[in-house]
Amino acid sequence: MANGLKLTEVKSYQAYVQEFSNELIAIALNGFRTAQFLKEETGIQGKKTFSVMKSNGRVLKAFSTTYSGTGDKIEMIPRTIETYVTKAEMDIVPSDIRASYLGAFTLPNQEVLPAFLVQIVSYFIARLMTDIDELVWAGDKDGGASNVLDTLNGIDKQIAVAVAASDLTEIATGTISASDVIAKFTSVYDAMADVHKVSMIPLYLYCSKKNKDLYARAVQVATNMYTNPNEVKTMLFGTDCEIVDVPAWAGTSKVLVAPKGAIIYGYDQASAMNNINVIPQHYTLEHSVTPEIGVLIVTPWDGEIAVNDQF
Amino acid sequence: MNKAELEGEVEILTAENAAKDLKLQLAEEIINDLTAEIAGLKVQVAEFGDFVKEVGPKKEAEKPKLIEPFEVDGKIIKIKRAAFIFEGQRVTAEELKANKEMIEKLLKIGSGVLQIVGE
Repeated sequence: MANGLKLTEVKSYQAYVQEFSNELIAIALNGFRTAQFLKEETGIQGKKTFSVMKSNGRVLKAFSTTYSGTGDKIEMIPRTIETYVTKAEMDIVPSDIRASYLGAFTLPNQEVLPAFLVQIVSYFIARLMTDIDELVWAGDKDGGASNVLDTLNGIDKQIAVAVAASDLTEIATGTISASDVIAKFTSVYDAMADVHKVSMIPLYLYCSKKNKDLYARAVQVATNMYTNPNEVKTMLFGTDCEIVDVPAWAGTSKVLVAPKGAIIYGYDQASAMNNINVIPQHYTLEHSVTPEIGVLIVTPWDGEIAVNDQF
Repeated sequence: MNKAELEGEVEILTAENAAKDLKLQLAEEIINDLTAEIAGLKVQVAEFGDFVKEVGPKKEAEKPKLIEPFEVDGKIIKIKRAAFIFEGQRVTAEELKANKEMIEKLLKIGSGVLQIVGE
């Protein structure tokens, strides 16, 4: 069937998106605000089970010539991450762009300037990143949100489940203000096992951007020093724990301390089904992408992570 | 300054420089050794810390129990957690029920571990 709309430039744009779709989707999957602080696992389609090793006391004994092996000293605890397929769709109507103020930039005999389309799809990816970030933290499968947040149980929900099951003991901080932010952040950090405080695996304290800023200012006032002299990172004063803001926690007093490996963010490869599809229809360009993503708190137990009472 | 004096000066300067160089070299070696030692220790600690974990999910029998809502000064208080940590101390719901002062403190700070029923 002949297409009523001349699509020469649009076709070249389609080729452009398809050529770069892997890179664009990789940016969307890896580039959101908090992705760099989570442990990334790729190649997860559906479910994948990890084993957490746990020591059950000493294995070293005083010497004697009698051999007596002791059982149950090492325990393997299975933890399963589950990924879910999501989707994002967007229509672009080139004739509408042409009819708008942007039409003035269109060259003679051209339906639409491809640069606009590239700009639009870049912004689409930026929005996709923001949405994935929100889903990873605030997703609640049974929360009744009637939107994408119903897709999977995010970090907040998994914390709530662990707390309700008494696997994780909250630190009662209440809401956080400028006058008590130092003491309250520190009280959550204190609940972590020492082994995580001295490990070279990065340790992060997650909170809202507002509380992160309150903390930095409070430390400056209290000590006349910045939390970190080079000001690149905001550190929990006197520790190796970096403070990270979570966009999905805006307006809350939630605090979580966790080492990098404790939270896994998993997805399928940034290829194949995750390509950005651009399909030219009669009058529209249909864009679609189907990222498959999941998140798991691997060790939601006392000492392995620490949370306050705002979840 | 005559030639002999000049030569003496040069010799002293050279000797001073040599001493400086030696000091710097020694200082550098000491720093390198210390750095290597600290790096080694850190790696050991990291390996130790990453591997040996003694914390895991609690057994059902180890878990504290939730308690029924109760009345304090005409208000029905519901404790939502079986145990929590407050001011560095682990507190069970039973212990909180018996500590009116702590209940007031927790309500004042907006703690999520308890709530007044109906509010």
